[in-house]
Amino acid sequence: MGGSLTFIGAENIVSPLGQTVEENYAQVIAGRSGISKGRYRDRDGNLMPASTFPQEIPIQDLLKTCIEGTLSRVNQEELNSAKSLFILSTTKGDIVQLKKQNLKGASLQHLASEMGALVGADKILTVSQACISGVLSLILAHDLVLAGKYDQVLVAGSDLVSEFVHSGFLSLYAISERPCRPYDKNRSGVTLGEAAASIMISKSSSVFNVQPLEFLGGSSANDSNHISGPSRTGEGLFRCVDKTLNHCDVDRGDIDFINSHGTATSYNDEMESIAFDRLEMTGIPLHSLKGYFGHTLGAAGLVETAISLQSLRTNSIPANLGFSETGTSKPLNIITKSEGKPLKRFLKTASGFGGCNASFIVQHHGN
Amino acid sequence: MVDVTLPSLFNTMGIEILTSGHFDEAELSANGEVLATSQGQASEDFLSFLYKEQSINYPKFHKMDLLCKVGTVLSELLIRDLSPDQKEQLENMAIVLNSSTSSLHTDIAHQKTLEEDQSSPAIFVYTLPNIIIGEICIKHKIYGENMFLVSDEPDVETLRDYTESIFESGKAEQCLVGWVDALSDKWSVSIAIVKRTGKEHTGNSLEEIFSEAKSILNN
Repeated sequence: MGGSLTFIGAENIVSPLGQTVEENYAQVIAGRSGISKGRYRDRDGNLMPASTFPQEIPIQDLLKTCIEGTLSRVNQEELNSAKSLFILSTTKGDIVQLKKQNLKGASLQHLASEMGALVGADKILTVSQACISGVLSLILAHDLVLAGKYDQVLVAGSDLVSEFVHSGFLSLYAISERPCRPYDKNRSGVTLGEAAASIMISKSSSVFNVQPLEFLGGSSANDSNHISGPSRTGEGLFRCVDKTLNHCDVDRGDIDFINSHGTATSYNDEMESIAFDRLEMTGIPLHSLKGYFGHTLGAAGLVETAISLQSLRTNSIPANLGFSETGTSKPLNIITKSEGKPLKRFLKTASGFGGCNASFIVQHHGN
Repeated sequence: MVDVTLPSLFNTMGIEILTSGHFDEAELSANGEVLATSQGQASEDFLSFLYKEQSINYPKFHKMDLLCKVGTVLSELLIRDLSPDQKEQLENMAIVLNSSTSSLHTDIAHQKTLEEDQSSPAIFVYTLPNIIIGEICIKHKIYGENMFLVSDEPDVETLRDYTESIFESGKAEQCLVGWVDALSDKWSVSIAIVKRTGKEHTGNSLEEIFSEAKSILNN
């Protein structure tokens, strides 16, 4: 195999923690969480914690602010002269329109065309692959650039905490009454979150105002096990990370840290520990960022990747917020405090309903 | 300016179609042969009839939502049609699907239940369109690449570009690529199982196969 690389950068995040990626990163490194009391209740009428904005915000406004931040970090002239693609990554988009019986408004492609028009993209795609949407969108962007189909791809993702999604997760008994605690012994489920994140993938480094990082490639794999429960053997995640390492021609020993999925449900975190054990990667420092942002679904892969790009840029690494005691059958090397250290390369993973898993590797050429 | 090196094989590589079919509320066909027509049956009755007549024999089918049912029926028949050699490659087959309705059919059902304070996990899980990929993988023990793309009309250009890139990078040798649309009592499914080929292919093209694919949302 052996893939060629593309450049990744101009990352941005708008979340309850901040309006720019720098603001978000500063809060995360300081150990502050965006999770607050939330706006939706459980069956007994108690508010369930969530990482939500103080006021409800239209998803279009959120994406627009975020995308403008990414565009301010690239050379507009070069961007406009190149063949560009816009990818929207989302699970439910503007689903609140469904309540108003506005089927077109609720359709994901409708939101994608609105956002793609802002960017002036030559082509618009929408990826909706559950909780791996963001990670898969970046892999798609990379693959299409390498195939020579586009010069630049702006990938943007967002999901809101809505009654639609909250009621569904509640019916699955998957929402935690307390802020989520990925991989911890006392974890009790997901905390939902809302955010937007946007990232640029390009064949050229010169489109970026600040030195970009290198995207080495990625892959996906299915568990072939159950539509709403992760595999007991971590088969899909195992296969997908193994494929990614081979595809990128990277030794597991050369991965400095893993930015994992870690939803804080009992089954998901346990599945990941088994997969990383089978991969002989349990010694590599690992964190889930769900303790800061909650689970932002279609945006999660992009929000979390943007934070890891900042980690490579600043040689610092945030702690896995909410973890104190090993809670998986295969112990992982969980990062328990934020620290500064030289970082060259990270692996990003994600897993989602429908048994899907995806992963990729990014490196800092200079480090 | 630093440019990445682009693979040079893309222009010479072709996609060979192994098997393909179409399915809507009026007719089911595979490889140019009509297998069944609804003969005026209501859509649910047509699906039940096909389940028996085509010996789908898969109890999980009855729990699926409409999008998954119609996608499962056609992919089942096409996978059966593969040669023993091709079936051996199923484990790593990629699945790349495209839709305009996405999971809207079940989104509407979930919205109704939540307004009645009766949200059901059995319904909610189908509010993700990629569940159909999971269902096909589970049924046939497939562990390959997954991709679910949403667009107003069939995006044959991207389906071809991405399938070729999967083949080019060596991530899969075979790919199930298709359009799956379903809403209320209508559906339009077009699926092809394709493989990598080193030479220019001269048979049916993806364009021909997806020319029958229709957006249920827009029509």
